[in-house]
Amino acid sequence: MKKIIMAVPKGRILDELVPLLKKSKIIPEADFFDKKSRKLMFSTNNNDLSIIRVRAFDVATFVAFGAAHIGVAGDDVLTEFGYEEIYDVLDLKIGKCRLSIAKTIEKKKNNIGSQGHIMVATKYKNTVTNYFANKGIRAECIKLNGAVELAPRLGICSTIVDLVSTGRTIKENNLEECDVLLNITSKLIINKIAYKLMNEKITRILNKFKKTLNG
Amino acid sequence: MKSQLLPEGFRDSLPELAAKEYKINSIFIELMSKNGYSIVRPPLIEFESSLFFLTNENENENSFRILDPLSQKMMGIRSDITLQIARLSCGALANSPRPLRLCYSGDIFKVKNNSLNLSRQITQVGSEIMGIEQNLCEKELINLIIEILAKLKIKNFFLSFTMPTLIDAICKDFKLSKKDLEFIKERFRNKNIYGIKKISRTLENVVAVLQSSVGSFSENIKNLKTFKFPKFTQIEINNFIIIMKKIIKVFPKLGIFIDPLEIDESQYHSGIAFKVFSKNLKELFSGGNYKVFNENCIGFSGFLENLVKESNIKTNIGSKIFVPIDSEIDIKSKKKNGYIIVRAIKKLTSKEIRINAKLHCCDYYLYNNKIIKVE
Repeated sequence: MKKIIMAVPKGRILDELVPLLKKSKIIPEADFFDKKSRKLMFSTNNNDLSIIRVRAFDVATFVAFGAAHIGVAGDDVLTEFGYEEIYDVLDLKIGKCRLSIAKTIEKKKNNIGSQGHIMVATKYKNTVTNYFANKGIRAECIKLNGAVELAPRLGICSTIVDLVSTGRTIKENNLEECDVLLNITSKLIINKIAYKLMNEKITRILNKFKKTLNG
Repeated sequence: MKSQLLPEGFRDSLPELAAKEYKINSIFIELMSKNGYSIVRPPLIEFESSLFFLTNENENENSFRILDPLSQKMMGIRSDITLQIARLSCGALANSPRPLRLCYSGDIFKVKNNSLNLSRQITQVGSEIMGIEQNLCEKELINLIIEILAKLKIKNFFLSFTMPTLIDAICKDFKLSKKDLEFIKERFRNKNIYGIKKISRTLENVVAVLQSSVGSFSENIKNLKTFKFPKFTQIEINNFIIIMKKIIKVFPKLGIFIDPLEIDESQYHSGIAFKVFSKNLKELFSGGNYKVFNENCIGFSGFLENLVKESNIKTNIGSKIFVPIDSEIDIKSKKKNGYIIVRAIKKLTSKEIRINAKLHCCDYYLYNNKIIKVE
């Protein structure tokens, strides 16, 4: 049967993932580490495994559609898309951060619970809408793909939901973190059908990661 | 004119696609009829009470509703024809001789389909056998699936078998509370044993063995055979092995896979359930055993859209020929020879005939009773 394709996210998580790959004896070709390289698909030292490098938000989509068979995605992405076609099999314990609500300091004094309606700037529309719906609040999301912290400062709205790791960006933009929606780590995810039909090859890769994580 | 958009999840099937859909539908129904399955056509809409009489929450929540202005009662639009077949088998066809073999093809509507398929109107085709002795009809269904996929020119497919009632047995063995059961189900859905240890160490071992038994049946049967499962789980596993061995014996060359821990989202299967996948990892059919009151049944169904995508059949039935308006006599003989006739609607010069033939993608045109190839 076909080669296994693993989707990995670009950026911050990748920096933490590379050592994990190396320890698990999965070595991508040299181009993979060259940030200038335009290549999107890379071979590895394992003949049965290729790696594609995509945006963190797209990893889950590639795996759900079976375009990639396994992938590395954070809980934020998995929750936002809620794909039923994915198994979330292993916590890789990298990419630790949290998805938090932050407000301007003046607004924080007003309790969220006392409102029936709220405007939120975020990249995580579904997660935010569901979170507030559970509290009986209708959230209207303004979708921003980056620099979300600027929204309150420039008067778009007073509440944001975004990833927080150290909390510095939030503080520097005069915001205060007031609630955590989700604690996040990156997970190894697997396409459900691929897991059945290509189980042997996938389990071999899964076990490599398990072995590394368990020391 | 302002372009008229269709609602999300609805689409037009334009000529080539519609022809392929129609052809695949016909191949399916013809094959089933030849194998003794009588076609039935239940309605698109029923009262809620009859449509959901087997109470399946998933289907219930995922169905469109409309109010009947006549009776002032709420009606539901079907989202799974299998449930209607079950209603027929214990209603209008309750006294028909058993086994009762039925097949169907029709549109279903879902409020929301899954993230891979956004269509909200889908055509479901399927076959059911009602009133069977247990564990004896899998062979017949698999043979039908092999035959239909061969006719549709879908090569390389795989069958994956699951045990929908295994979770109930595990629940019984470990006397799981409702909360724990939900937790375990969530873990099964993700093939992840994290946190199960807290409920019971033995349970974690059982789940770990079941989880490592996913994949090719012949490679995983040893795993299942050697481990000693608790009482009710063991009974389920033994039954599963017996059925699977029978299937492997009859179909030694088929790609057969197992996944003991898959949760049955349709909620009505008992015994075994299965799915058929194409080599492109697309689901073609799903099916399995189920009970309608005390009657054992088995069946399978699939979505026409998936079959259309994976099928390599050709829809053109002959060469197209452009025929001038006054050549009526010749048409009959041409039709007999398998030509598809494209008629002119007014008198045309020879040049115009040539241009029109090309415009309508014809292979030939007729001029002075001669068949001329379009250059």
